[in-house]
Amino acid sequence: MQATTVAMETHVFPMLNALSQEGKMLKNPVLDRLIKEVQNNNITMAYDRVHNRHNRGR
Amino acid sequence: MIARLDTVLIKTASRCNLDCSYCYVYQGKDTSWRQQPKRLSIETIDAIVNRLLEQSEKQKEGFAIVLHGGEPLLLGYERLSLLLTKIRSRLSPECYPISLQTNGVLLDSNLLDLFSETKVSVSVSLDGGQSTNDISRVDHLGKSTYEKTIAGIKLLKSHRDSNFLFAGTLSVIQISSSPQKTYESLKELNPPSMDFLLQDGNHDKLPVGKKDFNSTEYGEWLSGLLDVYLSDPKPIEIPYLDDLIKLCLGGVSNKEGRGSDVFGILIIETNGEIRKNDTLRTAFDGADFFQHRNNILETPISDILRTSEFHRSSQLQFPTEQSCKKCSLLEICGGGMPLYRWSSKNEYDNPSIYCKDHELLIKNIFKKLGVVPCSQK
Repeated sequence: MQATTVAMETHVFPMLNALSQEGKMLKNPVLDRLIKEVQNNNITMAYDRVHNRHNRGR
Repeated sequence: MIARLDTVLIKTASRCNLDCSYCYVYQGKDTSWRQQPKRLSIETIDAIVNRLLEQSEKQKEGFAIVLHGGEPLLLGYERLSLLLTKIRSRLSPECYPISLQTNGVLLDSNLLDLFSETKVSVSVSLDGGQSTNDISRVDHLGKSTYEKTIAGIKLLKSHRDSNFLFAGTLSVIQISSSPQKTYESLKELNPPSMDFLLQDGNHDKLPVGKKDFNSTEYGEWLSGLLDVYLSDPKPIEIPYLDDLIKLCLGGVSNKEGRGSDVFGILIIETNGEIRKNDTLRTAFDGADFFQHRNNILETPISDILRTSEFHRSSQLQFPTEQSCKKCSLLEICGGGMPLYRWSSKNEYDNPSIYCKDHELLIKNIFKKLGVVPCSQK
């Protein structure tokens, strides 16, 4: 897999999306799930902010 | 400006039935727990419920409610029932999720029925298989607690509402146990998620197993965990790694201490005192105190949220150290939790003691993604 250089400040997601479509990115269930979560971020962010906090602290 | 409350963490009991060697409450710098009532009184429960209802009317966004301790189940069924049914009579699970972090030893079917009725999800602290868990998680006689915790998890999983109730496991990283062994031991329990915490430590007192600031023992361990995670065809979710991967993808973190979001967190002690983020107490005795030591019995939550002291404590999330502010990975690591930045010389004006560990891990995540940030060439 050839690494692709991207600027941090632009975020890497658009590039990853392109890589994924080209079949260049590592395919696995974790990354597939997380890419979908990031894609849906604008919708779910407010919900996630108060949910999924179970493991706060110890 | 009034800040937004994201999480209110309620110390339902200030003592614990276990005596874990790494505990940030009882083995750290803080001594104030000795003066706290052992558990919430009915008067304090009423005051907490009223203040939460009051706050829910003052901010349109919901907030998370976390039951914590010590061991939160030491509050006992009757008072837990009182607290939870009163909260749930007015605050919905959709906007006000309640979660509980427990060692699992005291779980029983009555409590699980109560948590099912009042929609309280349960996360269980367990560091891995027995040999890993026994390194630190022992009782007051120094004996293993593994079997009792496993029994609690089995009970939780056997409940008719287990799909909702069981939120997952929470493990403190023991780097002397391999990430693969730890992952596989926890996976045998088939939790919906397994989260991890770094060992407490700072520049004055290095975390267990860490040689110096530049060493990367935890970065290597976490990178090993990343390898195991990404190579598992049926992985169990690991929020710690998920958050960092999502941040690398340009997303956001769900948890404080990663990314650039600030979370509004308040702690309520068993006597009703309102405190700052309780993880700060590992730095020095009193690090989590507000100057005026306000109590929920007399003070509305919104009064605290509008203070400059609360604002400053929230802003601690942003690192001040110059190399952090210039670092291209800052948006991802967020500078780490403030407790890891502490030194008696510079206070919080240091990079995290885990800086090099996170740098290694984040670079390995980028490698897995097939991306090299240009500033890291």
